[in-house]
Amino acid sequence: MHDAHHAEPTGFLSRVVFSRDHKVIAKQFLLLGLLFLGLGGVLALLIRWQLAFPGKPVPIVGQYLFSATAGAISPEGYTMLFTMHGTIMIFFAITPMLIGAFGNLCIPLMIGARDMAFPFLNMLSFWVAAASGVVLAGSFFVEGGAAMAGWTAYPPLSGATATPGLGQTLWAVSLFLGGVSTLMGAINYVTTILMLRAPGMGFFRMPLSVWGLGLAAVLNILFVPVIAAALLMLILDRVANTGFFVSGAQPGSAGDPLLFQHLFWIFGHPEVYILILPAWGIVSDLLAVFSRKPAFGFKATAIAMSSIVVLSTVVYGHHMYTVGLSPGLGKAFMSLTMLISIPSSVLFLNWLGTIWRGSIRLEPAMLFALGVVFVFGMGGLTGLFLGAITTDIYLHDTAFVVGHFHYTMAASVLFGSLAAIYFWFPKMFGRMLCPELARLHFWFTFLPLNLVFFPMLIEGYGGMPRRLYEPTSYKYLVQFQPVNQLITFAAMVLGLAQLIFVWNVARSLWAGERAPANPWEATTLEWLTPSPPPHENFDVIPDVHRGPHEHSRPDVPDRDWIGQWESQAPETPLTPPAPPSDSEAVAV
Amino acid sequence: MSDIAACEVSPVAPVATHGELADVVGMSLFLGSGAVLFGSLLMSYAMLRAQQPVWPPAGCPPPPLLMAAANTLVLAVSSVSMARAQIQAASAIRCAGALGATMALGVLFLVLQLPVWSALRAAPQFGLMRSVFLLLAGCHALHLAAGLGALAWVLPGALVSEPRGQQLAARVRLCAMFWHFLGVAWAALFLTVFVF
Ligand SMILES: [Cu+2]
Repeated sequence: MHDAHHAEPTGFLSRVVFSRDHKVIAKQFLLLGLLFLGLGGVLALLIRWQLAFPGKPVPIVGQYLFSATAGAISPEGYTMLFTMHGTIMIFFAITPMLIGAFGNLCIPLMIGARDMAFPFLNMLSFWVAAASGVVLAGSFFVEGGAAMAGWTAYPPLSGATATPGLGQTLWAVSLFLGGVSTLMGAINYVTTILMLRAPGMGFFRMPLSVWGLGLAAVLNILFVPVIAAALLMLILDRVANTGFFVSGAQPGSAGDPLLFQHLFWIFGHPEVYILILPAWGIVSDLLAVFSRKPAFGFKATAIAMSSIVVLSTVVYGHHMYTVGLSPGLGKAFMSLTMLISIPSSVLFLNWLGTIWRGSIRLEPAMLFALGVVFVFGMGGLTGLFLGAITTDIYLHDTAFVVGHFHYTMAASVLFGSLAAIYFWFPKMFGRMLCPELARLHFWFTFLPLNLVFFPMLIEGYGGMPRRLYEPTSYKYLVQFQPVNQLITFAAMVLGLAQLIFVWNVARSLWAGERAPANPWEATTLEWLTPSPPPHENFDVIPDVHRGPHEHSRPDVPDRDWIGQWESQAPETPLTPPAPPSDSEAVAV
Repeated sequence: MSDIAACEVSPVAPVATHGELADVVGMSLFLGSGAVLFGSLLMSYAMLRAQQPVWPPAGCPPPPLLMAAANTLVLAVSSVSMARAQIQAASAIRCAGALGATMALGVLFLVLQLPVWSALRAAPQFGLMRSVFLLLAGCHALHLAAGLGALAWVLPGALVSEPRGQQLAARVRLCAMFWHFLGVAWAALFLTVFVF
């Protein structure tokens, strides 16, 4: 069933729409993610407009979107905007792009498999994701509009009394469906990695991208059911008048709003790592490829990522320092949180070790990978202030938190996705992107992005609350209005710069140069097969002879890479009879 | 196949192909996430209950222990019959018989749930008890219905003995994993909600 060769399906429906080919499903997820990324970005710009010019009509689009208020954003509308921006970006933009698209594309190709272990389940995973996206997008059009309880949907705000509209219920249903889709994908990814590796592909020969994607899938299997339980209870509270999260709503009922927060963050903290682990893995691989060096401390990186996975399961309480946890519990969560900085530092230093004295090629994918290193560093450092109780109590619920998690979750993961797109686009579509446009895209993304999120740290330090509708309503915040306007202008530039990317992709799909099998002279298995790969990926499943980053071996004179599939470097004996000391030093 | 071979109590068919092993791995991962789902619900139940001064809440009759125990017994017997189906997968007819018995017991379990549910609903103030039970038992019943669906899909194949030997054994193995999981989940639910 899994080993046999299958004929390529020929119909349009089975080839393009209901395809079971992981490469097609990857493209479908990429399209879904990019569409929602655009939508989430537009919502972000509307939020920024309100913060920079409170109560002023939104130019151009305002008259259509907010006709009832003559183009201005109402408080309810603003609440809806930031709720849906967060939800869309996390669950419908970044998750489909990194995990849906690149999980699907990379895992089978990089481990030398013909497809996923369960191709039908894989197809189902996409279509459930698409359905959940339709439910979420449709919730904008129901009476009362979309969800308004924040992306965290804490009860009693998300209960039937505070947000009675259908939109909030559809929000929960859509997230539940999204969870089902994610779970189907995750079971597929882990089974595929465990069962379908090519001969010779030991765990420590797998590229770090596969490590990151696999570990994220493990976290998904463990923690998506937790949020599913919370969502089930939330839905029942709303439609069946149960009382899980409402205290004293009916006699004999003593629900607890904090129960939702516990369940939400038991999932929510690992979710951060679910999104960032694939980005870490991809960056670790790309830095090696474009520094023409083996990944520094390869095994240590893999082990550090694994230990972060373990630690991430026991630190969720750092999101709840201010709810009245017992101080002892708070301290325990703080210590565990701080412990994460050890493996994170290992990871970070290993990245620096990889690029140290490398022959760096500043291809666009490398620029974005270096961008991840920078913004993840920023995110990690600002995280220390929020992980420590003393500073968190002051900074809690301020723009500092917004700046921090956008550096960590938004910027790192967005750059990770863009690095992945620039790196694997030739493999996916068989065309090269224009590198000049891509570099322009990088700089017009990287610089404005920092102008958006760094000032938020300052505003938050100055006491500006997050989710604030009218910043000038507090006297002490009036001084920040120029900063708010600067952020908004930077955000507009950031948004417009994405058109460069859209144009580059469209141009390349139409008239891009044909991609060779291995344009980056990389070493992992996906570069062995043609671009785009044929149905079932490989003519013959390759034997794997070495680790994933064999660059610049001194005993290979002609070129600075050897593919994992090559038993011998071309026309060169692998172990020359020369003094063995050199070759031993670089042997794996 | 001779009658003698079919009469022998063959051991549970070993996993034969790589693909079958992948199926077992996938099912195990799925059941792992299912365990987390039921675990989260039970943990929520424990947390809500711990905040009550008295349990069951004032005015609520105690949960119907005897009826729930009858449910437990039925599900336990169905698991035994499922195990028989797995052991006798070499003989399509016997396997089908055991599967049919499992299905009948599963349906009986769902029918026996109704008096338990209505007993809870009839309580004058069923507030939180209703919420908790609606969720836990409802979730379990939906999974069990899915299990019945899976059996209904495997059973006709066994009857016409179309998927021979190994293939039938592989399908029954996956059904059995899921079915036993439901038994364990119910046992945990029974112990937390009805016994303690
Ligand atoms: Cu966290």
